Amino acid sequence: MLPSGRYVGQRVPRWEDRRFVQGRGRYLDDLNFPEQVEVAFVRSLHAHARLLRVDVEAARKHPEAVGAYTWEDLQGLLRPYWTMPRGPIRQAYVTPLASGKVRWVGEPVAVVAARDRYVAEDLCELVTVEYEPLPAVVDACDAMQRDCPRLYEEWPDNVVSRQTFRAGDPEAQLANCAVVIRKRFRSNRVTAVPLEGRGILARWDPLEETLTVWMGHQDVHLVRSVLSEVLELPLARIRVISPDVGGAFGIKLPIYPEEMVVCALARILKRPVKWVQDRKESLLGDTHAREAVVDVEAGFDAEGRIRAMRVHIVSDAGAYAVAGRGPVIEGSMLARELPGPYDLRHYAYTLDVVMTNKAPVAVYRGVGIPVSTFVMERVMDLAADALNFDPAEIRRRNLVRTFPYTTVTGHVYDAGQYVEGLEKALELVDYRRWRVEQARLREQGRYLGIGICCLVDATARGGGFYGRLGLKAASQEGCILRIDPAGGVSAALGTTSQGQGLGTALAQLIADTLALPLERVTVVMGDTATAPYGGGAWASRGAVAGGAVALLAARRLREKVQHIAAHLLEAAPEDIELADGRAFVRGAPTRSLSLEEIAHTAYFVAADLPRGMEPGLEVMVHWEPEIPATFAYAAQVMVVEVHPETGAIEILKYLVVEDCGPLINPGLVDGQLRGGILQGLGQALYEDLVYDAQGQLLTSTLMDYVLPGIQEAPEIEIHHMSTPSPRTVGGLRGVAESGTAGVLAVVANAVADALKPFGAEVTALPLSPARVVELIQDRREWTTGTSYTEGG
Amino acid sequence: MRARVAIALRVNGQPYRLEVEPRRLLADALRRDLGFTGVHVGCEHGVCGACTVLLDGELVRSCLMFAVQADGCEILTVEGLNVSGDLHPIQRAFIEEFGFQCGFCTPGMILAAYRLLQERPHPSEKEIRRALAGNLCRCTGYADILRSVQRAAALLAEAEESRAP
Repeated sequence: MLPSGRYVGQRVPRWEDRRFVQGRGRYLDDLNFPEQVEVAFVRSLHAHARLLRVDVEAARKHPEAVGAYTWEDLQGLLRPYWTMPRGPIRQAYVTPLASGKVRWVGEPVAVVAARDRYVAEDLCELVTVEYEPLPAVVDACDAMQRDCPRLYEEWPDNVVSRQTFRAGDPEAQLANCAVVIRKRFRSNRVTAVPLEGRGILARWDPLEETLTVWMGHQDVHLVRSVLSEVLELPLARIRVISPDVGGAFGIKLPIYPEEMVVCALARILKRPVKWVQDRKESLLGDTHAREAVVDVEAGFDAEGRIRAMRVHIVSDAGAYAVAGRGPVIEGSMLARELPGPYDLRHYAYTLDVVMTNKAPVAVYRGVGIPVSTFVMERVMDLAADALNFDPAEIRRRNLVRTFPYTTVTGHVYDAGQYVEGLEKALELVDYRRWRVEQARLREQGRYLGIGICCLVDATARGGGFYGRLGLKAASQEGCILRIDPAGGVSAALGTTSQGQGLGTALAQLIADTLALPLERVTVVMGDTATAPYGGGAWASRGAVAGGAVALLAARRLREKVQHIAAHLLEAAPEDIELADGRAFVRGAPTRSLSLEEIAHTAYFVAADLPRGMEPGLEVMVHWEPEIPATFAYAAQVMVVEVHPETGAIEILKYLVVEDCGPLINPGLVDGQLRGGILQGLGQALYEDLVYDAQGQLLTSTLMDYVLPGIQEAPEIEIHHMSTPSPRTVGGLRGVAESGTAGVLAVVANAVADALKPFGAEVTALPLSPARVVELIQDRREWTTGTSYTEGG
Repeated sequence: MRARVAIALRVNGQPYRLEVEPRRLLADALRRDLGFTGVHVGCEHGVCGACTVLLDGELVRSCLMFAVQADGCEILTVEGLNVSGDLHPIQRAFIEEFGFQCGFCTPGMILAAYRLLQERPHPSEKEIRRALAGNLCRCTGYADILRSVQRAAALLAEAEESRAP
């Protein structure tokens, strides 16, 4: 149970973050030091080439240069790293600056340091790189062909990881199904584009031999561990501080080559070194995500129940692994979460994670689940069509109804109201009325479509999720909570916030547990010098894991306060009540002590504490969830009108029924949902990282890689169901990725529904106007033999 | 050392003199040379709107202008909205209505809203959407920003009323 009080459950505004509205945030590029130098990188122009020569002499000799370096120059200062220490993955040796070969356009080849970025970029022009181009491997399916060139010549092929899974007897089941859906689905390659790009500022103290690093990041402890390994520096000599972060969404979880190089340069130059990427570098070289081809065979019985599923997934991993997060997680999540909220017992998959000459792939909001939901929900609709069921009905027949439920891939859905959630969404959106409206408008030649999607989202991984693979990424979380001598409360956590408002949410939990005004609580995160070990921000774990340790610590501290107060007031601990920052004896309101008085005793007159009690008012708590801790559930419904002449998609209605357990702060929760949904909408309708046959990225500006703006943002109606999780502290479930998880599916289903009269098949994203027109024309040509334009 | 040009600017009501290379972006001059780090650089090619400032009263993208082009101009950055110390009603509205998450787009959003509300104190939803169309946000999904601007209009109207005799 969450504490009841003045704050938990309320839309508490983020007053402690008011610096943001005054332009007083402190982001990475707002920090500068005297003597600082800035660097720029020379990047590969080829997707795949042998490096014949990298010559930085001319740049190095220039009077304005502070330094210019190739990989050779960094020997002894920077070690290569491996794709993943352990796990079902082939090893590749990655050097932070290219050596021998380049494998994607944008790969860092050399680095130049100068007074500022302007000069550093000028000097990059003086660096000569000679390439011997090799055939580029751009398509992941082609990359698996026997005669395809190999990115890593020592490997037998380009497959970095092949995983297989089998449960039950899918083949036998498929042979006896009333209908079998066989389709190939494609998901587009996208990247997160946080408005603040990546950057780093590193300062080496030659006297102390310590490195201090400022870097907007989601997991400062992970950064520290990786830097310690590649720089071969003791962990204790490195401090990592994440200042305010201008959005992250997963792409600020890895540790990238540029960041390692900057740290090495800080050591060489003994001056603060800074690198802030520009937007082209962000689109070229932030980790990409979600590009996959999924071949599905799904069998349903005559009653519309899914009997079996067989899939082959080809997940495009790009050219390298980034440190801290491997390229395999995306595909393996896709494969394991594919059954979604439905009862499926016979399931087999083969996953091929394939290297291509494109930017590295890692995690982006939802990791695998937006794509798995897209595939599963399309399959549901296709089966409904084939069996002549309403899309709502086929879902009713397949949703998990009894809890706890263990999925075919071994996850536990601890508690939920999946059918009720769907019914609530249908009722609130007035589903029947929209179906009537759809039929009416269709007679007028207008094309309305209604899309439904049900989803589960794995939140807060535990059980040593990454640790078992040898990564130093924690799935446990830690909190140090202190009542100071002035009666103020400060919490330090290992998790971090990149704009989610987590500090406010945690302060609400702490303030209500200790019964004191919110203004007295300070939450600090993102500094390895002060934060206990924890895992940072990923897998929607901020509230679940951060909330858990904040609650547990606050409860433990409350207990101590009660014991001290009971001792000083000569009452029983169970008779002590806390309110407004004071401890009272129940029924005797005049007998009370302020937190300040209690803290004074705890810190300065420890002799007056109960016999044997440890002095001070400070606790440290660690907690690790199960793997995964718990699932959020959502039912989303979207109504669109598709304009066949222009391919435009107009969203008329978007309604979400969300079950992320009890809410700490509905304002923050809804912000996560709406923001996540809009990011997903970007992928569904606009965003697409397009490479040509030579492996050149064609979408390297925000003019080509189109993000949704306020004009494109639909009104999103959100309703909550709150099923507490029995597996987490306070029953909390995560929410940050759940919005994103459903968008691809609900858009695809709505558009497919609208285009049914054309017989158009929606199996690929994004549904840009051009693709929608193409889908309609293809089918018209196919069915009538004449082209749409000729027919008028 | 490259040639520098002397320019004079007024930023948030204060006069500044500085010498800049002709190629120096206005955004960099404001941020690095004068310390107005509320000017955020999000794309450097005029799409995201995070570097928006008011130049002689009009919205401009300071990443698309050279500092020398702003010689003799009056500039307002987000830091200039509450020089008195009290939050401007638009700033208050953005807090009350959860109009920001990471805060990176926020200065540009607030200045775009400021300019809109100068011209149209009671904007329709459509007008707000049009006025903010050049400012990208990756966190909020925009709904709370829209509500923040509506709330700001109401707060400004209240303030106006209380000033009326």
